[in-house]
Amino acid sequence: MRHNPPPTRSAPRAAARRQRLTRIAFYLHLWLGVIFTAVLVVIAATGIALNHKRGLGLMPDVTHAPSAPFEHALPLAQLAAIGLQAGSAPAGGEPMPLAHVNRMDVRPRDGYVKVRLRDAAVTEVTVDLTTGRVLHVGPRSDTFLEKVHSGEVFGDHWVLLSDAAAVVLLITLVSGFWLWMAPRISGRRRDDDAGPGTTPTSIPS
Amino acid sequence: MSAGVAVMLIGLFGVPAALLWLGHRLRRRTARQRAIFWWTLGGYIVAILVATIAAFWPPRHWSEADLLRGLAGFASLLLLPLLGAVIGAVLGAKDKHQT
Repeated sequence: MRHNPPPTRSAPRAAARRQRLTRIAFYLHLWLGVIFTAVLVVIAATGIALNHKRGLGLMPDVTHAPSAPFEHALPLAQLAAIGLQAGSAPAGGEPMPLAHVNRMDVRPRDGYVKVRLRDAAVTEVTVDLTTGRVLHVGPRSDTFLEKVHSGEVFGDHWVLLSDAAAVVLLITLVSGFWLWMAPRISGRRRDDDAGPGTTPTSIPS
Repeated sequence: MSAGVAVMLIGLFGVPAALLWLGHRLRRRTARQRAIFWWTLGGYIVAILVATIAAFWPPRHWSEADLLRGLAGFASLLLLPLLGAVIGAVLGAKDKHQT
């Protein structure tokens, strides 16, 4: 036989509090979800593209074995000059100044260095470490996508936009979970008060 | 902040906020307001797709010469819902006369 505790005086107050919380969760879920839809769509789409950046050909994928020991590698300045020359050649102009080198990623195990340039397409030149041969020239598209993903594409402070979107996503997750859970809690409480044989009722409005 | 970014922000946050306001108690609103709501919403959904594709295709930083991409990526979030609202207002007014 099931034992039902007698209803307490605090029960209606708890139900009212729960109902108020459900109402807040509903409007938070609705307003924040709708207002941040576009931002979250862009973040999700760029995130998926970034996860598959190799498959989508968004970054150069050069397979290369070292042509000589790392000790015989050319000086960094010479490799940078080769990268700049190769990177600016498609534009048909003079090689860009050294300041146009964004970074150099040396890979001793693969025997090459990636010279990334500061241009709109984020051109990356892959150069053999010991011979100085240009292995590949192409845009580093994933860098641009990363900037769109983080909001940095508009400026340094715009990362706050993706932060806000992340917070909104958490709030909508928690509020959505509460909206799913609240009617079940209310139904269980009512079951406990009414005794066995009753069914949970609908979402409190 | 550039004018393009300001337009984008209005489209990004202002349009859905206006839609939420207009969508509140939608069944009690006039036929014209309902038509404006649905057409604006349609315009906004299309604009999200257009802006998302324009934002990262081609995946390189846009320049001032990319007029079409700038329009699609920055202004479409405001312009397409506005276009939808105008169409909704015209069609909603026609419906009202017919009934």
